[in-house]
Amino acid sequence: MVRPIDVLIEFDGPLTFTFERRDGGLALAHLAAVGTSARRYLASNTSKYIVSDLKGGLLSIREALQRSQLWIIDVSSDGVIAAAWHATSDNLPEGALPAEGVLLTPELENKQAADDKLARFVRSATDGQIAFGGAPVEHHSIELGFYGKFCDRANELLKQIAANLGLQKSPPLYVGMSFQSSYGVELRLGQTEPAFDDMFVKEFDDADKAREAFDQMMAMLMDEQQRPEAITMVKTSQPVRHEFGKILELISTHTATIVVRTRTQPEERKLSDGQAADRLVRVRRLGYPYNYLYVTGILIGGLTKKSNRTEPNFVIRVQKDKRDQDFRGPVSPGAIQKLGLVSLESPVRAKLSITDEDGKDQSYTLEDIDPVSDNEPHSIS
Amino acid sequence: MKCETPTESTGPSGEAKHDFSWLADLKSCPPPDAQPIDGTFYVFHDFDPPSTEADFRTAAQRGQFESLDECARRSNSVWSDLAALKGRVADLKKRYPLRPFYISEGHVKKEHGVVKDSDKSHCSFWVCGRTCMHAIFKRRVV
Repeated sequence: MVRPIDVLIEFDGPLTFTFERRDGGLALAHLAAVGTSARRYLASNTSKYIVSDLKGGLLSIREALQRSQLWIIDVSSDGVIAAAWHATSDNLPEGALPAEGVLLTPELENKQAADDKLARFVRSATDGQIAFGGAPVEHHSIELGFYGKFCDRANELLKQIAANLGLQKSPPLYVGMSFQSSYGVELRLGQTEPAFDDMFVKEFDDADKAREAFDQMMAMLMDEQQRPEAITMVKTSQPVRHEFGKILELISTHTATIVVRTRTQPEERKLSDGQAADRLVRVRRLGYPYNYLYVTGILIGGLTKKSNRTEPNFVIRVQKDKRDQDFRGPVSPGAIQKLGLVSLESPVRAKLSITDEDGKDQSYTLEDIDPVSDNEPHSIS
Repeated sequence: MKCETPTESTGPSGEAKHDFSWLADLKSCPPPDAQPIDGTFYVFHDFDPPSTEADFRTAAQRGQFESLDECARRSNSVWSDLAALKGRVADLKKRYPLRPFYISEGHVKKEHGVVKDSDKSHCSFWVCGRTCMHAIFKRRVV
């Protein structure tokens, strides 16, 4: 059954769109011909990042379709696939695929025609571009000490973010000096080899996660308004916060500036040494927006009175993504009474303050707690 | 679909009299701001001559745009500006090289139905039950 999910081009109906395959994966369909009782599409397996690149003008329609095995499918008016067969670009009739370089919309083509730098980034087919400025840069040369440390710290931050997203191996990050200016570099994510068992069912999974990790890192570094998932990661993962702080410290102490383009956000984003310094203070001191963690889960342990050896404490279990995560620690004086009113094994929403334990670990203090309904989804934010 | 050449039909004071019985199950359809109009409009179709089974079908007949207003889904798309439609078709031709895109012209009279602008050149057209799209849009221009 072909039911459009995300319609990318429409004209009296969807012409290019994504749909869910029988195995649950995502496919891209592009209209090739129209009959009186069926429509013929070119289709291929796709991923959310291929679709994102297509929408952003980073991939042409032809490239997006050819990222995976190409199919021809005949779809009847009720959405049923009447026939399907493999195709290759060689055995398709001339003109079946849009020409090289044809983007999803004329607007995307016009935007690149008007912006040479953007067009050069698109042509580079890399995952990102980064340009350095400020004190470490002198006449198109960059101070090696700064540059080496920056690469090292960016690599470490990417590793921590990848681990946090559940990638078993961090994607290798390649740096290419193919810009005209010597202080600008291109970044390319390498591929991690999938385990044999996963080769056929996880065609895009690891590549998507690697891309997600890279996007998270760049968003964490560059976005003035941090993404909610980046804020949560900085609050919940001490190693991520530690590496994030180190790279911010490097930029601020070297009075450097960096300018970044990524495939997900091809427009330039800039970070100055002043912005890095401000963000560093907030990250290190766990100031806004990193000051409190909000969790919804089950209160599985708690003591409201001081006993001989133990201060009042709490344990809240959050079940998320088929994983149990326990948050535990002391209770602030203001929350003791409210904790006493909540029975064990009840669903709760709690506000926790975070304490960094000498840069090695972190602990939580219960600041507030309220019961919630049984069907409240578990969350960490 | 059997379709007759449109017949003149006016009320006692000369106003256009329409048969929208095929929309009777919908409240306020066509919408009050859709008006009878005299003018030249253009439509796009897949077959030449237009297929009676496949061309000029509304979104509701094609089973598309299910989230849209049902009254709008039962209208046909027509264009008042040939250049705008040609431009749109040229963009699409680049993306769907093997797909034919034909354009036909028709003179819409007040008794043929009611029209509502949705943007500068695209309009929604609710066809009076006494006629049909195939009878109005007969002259291929592209």
